[in-house]
Amino acid sequence: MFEKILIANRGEIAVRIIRACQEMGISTVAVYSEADRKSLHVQFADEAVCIGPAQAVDSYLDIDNIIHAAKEKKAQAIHPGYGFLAENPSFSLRCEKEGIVFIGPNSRAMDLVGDKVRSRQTVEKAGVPIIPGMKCVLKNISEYEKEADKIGYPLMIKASAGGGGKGMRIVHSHERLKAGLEAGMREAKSAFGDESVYLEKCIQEPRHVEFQILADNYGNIVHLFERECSIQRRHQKIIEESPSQALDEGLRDQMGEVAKRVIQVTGYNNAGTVEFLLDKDRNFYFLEVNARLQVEHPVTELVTGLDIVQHQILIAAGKKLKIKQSSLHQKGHSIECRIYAEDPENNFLPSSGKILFINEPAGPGIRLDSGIYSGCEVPIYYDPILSKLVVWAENREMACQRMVQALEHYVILGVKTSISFLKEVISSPMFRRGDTTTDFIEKQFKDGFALRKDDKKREICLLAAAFLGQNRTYDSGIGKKEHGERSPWQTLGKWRLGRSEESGT
Amino acid sequence: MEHEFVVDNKLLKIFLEKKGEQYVVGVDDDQYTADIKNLSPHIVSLKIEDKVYRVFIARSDDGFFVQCRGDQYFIKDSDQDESEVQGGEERSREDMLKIKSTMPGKVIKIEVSEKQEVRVGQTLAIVEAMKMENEIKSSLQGVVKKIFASEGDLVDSDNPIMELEEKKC
Repeated sequence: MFEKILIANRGEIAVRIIRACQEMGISTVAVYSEADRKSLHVQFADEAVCIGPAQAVDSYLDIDNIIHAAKEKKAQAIHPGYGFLAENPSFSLRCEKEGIVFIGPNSRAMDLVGDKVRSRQTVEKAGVPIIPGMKCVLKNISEYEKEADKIGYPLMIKASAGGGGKGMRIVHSHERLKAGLEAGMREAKSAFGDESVYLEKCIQEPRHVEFQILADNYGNIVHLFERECSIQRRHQKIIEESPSQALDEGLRDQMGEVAKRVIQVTGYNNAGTVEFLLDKDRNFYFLEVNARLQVEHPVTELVTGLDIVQHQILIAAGKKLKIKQSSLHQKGHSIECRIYAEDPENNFLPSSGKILFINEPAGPGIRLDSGIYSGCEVPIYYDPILSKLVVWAENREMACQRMVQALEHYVILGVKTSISFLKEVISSPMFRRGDTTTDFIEKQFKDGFALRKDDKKREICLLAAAFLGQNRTYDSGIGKKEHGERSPWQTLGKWRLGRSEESGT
Repeated sequence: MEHEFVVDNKLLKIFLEKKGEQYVVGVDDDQYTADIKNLSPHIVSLKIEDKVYRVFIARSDDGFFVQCRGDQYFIKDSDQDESEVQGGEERSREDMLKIKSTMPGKVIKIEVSEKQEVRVGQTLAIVEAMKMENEIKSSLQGVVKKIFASEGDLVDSDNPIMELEEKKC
């Protein structure tokens, strides 16, 4: 077993991986950019190494710097988390060359599944159903236009090297194609350093259903059932659950077996996810393999009772998978909400700055994977995910109720978050019915999102502010500008003495 | 003591005065007593008649972030905000001419050039933050007067990327 692992990531996922290592008695090395010097993951690890400036390209995406840190600290393995270098075959290849174990799939399989076009050809040959679309990446816009007319509108533009919705766009008409392609290429270039995109038929009102896989280095493959991730905004998942309301025992078994076949024919090992689109007639289409630990892995952990990160480490260390498919069961229901630093009342614009105070929800069946703390800064340079709130309960209805309560008790002051929006989604009758398709958010919130607020609660909040304004005994000064102390006359708000005639006392 | 705050662009007044162990509260024409205690720097416990409320609160530069039973407010000190609350119409016109990013980020593309005419809804620039591209659109018809930022520049939400000149038609 490894004695030391370097975690080439930041935020909540780095913390999650460090926890697994600590439980297994493995010491940990965190890496961080200059913007993350005070981040939670740095404080969680046994050792921490700065790998460059704030811009991800010069730090979390810099292969040389990360390899150098791993060698200097004598880490035997690297866990890449998700995003950044997690699905970059040259990084895993470089690890192999340097004699460092990459905790993830072998570089050949990663290369294959990472190429959406080639992977589709491979699985199609093995009889796996795929969505009609382009089989190769084209050179110029007019070639794309011809291809687009063949496939028909609406269609999707997707980044070849992509994932997580980056560089992905729906185009409804021929006229909009050029602008969509340009924007898609720019986003692809900025997110993955590769601007190639391809086109695909857009299946309307589908559900996003994916299967979690574990595969060891000896050809043993199991699936850990499905996650439904249909609730998406801008093609980014925001709520995930297991089991899916759309599957029955028969379809679940069938899709699970197909997912295992995908893993087998692509020569994939370690943890991975096979994504499908499921249409309303229960046809399913292979989308892609996510060659990484996924953001939403906790819902699978809660319904199966397995620790996926620990299994990743065991598989990477060359251990045989001891789990048999027949011994796996889904128990109860789990839901995850991704908590982003964004403003739901202002078109979900990212919000950055200092988190002044946090109060975390707790109680039976509540798990919080968090990368933040009271007083930490949310930098503008990275993905705005702050934490993941995950609940487990006996059934879906109870899980929904538990999630609504947990969201209500989750307090993050100082930056805007998606908490109130998530609460609205989980509470909606459409979600409660399990009526979840990937256009759920557009359908439910087509006129934007305005929070319904309660006048009494607002009054209570005002009262608390007034109270704190005149009783400053507990004011710790947190959140104040560092330069220039403010006088009480500035901080008290506007007040006057003895205006009894107006207030009626 | 009377306090004035601005919440969601509305000026709100609340009267609060200590009376023995309790506080007298006046809101609009309503008056009642409340038991208010600071439990920790960021937690205030209120008891009004027999109803209890737990409020989470943090001070920032120009006000308070406050949350009660899942509802969160930003309660602004009123003295900072007078101009915005009142002559809103005039200011917003002026604001519409100064094209700013809604968040700090990097300018990916400037879609117009100086002296170019622009129409309502036309994309002026694209700013990227946290790996998302956001299009900045014109909210009026006009002419590009001056462009301050170039592609690749880091911008904040206070300084304009460009300035427009209104064009009456």
